[in-house]
Amino acid sequence: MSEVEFKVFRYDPARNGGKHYQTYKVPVRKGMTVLQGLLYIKERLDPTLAIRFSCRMATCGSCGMMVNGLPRLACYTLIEELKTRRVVVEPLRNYPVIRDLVADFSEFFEKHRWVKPYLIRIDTYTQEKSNTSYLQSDEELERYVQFAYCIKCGLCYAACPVVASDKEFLGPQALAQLYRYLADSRDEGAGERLASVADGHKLLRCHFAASCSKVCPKGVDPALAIQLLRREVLLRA
Amino acid sequence: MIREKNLMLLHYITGVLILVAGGVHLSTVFLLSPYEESMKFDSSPFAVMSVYRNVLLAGSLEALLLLVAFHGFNGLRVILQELYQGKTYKKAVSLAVTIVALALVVYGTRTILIAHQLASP
Repeated sequence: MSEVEFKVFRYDPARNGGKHYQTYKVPVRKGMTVLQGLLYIKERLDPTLAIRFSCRMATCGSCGMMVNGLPRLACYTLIEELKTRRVVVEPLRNYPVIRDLVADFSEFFEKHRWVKPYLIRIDTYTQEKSNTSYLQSDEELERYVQFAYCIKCGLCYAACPVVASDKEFLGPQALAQLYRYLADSRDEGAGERLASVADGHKLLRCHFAASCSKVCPKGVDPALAIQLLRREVLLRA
Repeated sequence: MIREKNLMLLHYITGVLILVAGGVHLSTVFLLSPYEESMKFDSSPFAVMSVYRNVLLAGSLEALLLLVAFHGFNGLRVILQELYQGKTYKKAVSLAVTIVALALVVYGTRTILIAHQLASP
């Protein structure tokens, strides 16, 4: 069994600890993921290491972190695919750090809430009665379903260069979700949604770096959603 | 206040028009006149001052000035406002780039008008 060196970012504000890196030697076997390596460290070497994880199968989005400089899901990244004997693990960029590899997602979720990620209907009575169905054709579904695969892992937010400098920019995840609901044929809030991002930095500061789409583990392609949304705002808002 | 989305639409439109106007400008210099003649000041029918003599060509230079001033300074405004976000700072940046852009447009227009008068017989 071979060994890999894990260089892990450590930070504990409760103990007045400064930011530093700690190195661990982790035995690896074929098919082992970065998350498994971190859990090995937590279980056998250093139980004080703080990490966030849950499903272990790239569905929940909890284990997002910087792995060798790129935002990735730790459960979805094989150590052997990194092709290196040294794995550098850090908390996601563009987020405040709570402790070690655990990032604070408050601002991320606040921006998501701001875009009203639910269907807006004029006929709220029918919506609340819930004994009817809103019919949707395959073509109508195809227009938005790709963007509905988002698991809110936050990797796109970490990769975005505009999020790093502009606090008012909503970020790729929130904007992709705004378009997801805009494109949904069941939604009747188009005017309200478009007006909300027609001004200021919320949408129009995107420079189409497209790093969000590059790092998305679910193929959501937020860059595409943002460009489609930009077209709608420029032509319709 | 102009809405941000309208400013961005103008930014895209001026970007495309700059390509067109710039292309026309370069074409008239390089394709429609002998290169050596076009670099002379005023001693040839194709010289620099002949551009200002012709009202259409002078007008195209003015159009290019307006397009580049808007596109460039709006771009600068966007860059500066991305680096820092504060209400007073944003207003100050918008005002500053507007003033500088207007000043350059006024100076450039003055230059074109003077050159046109000097070039006219």
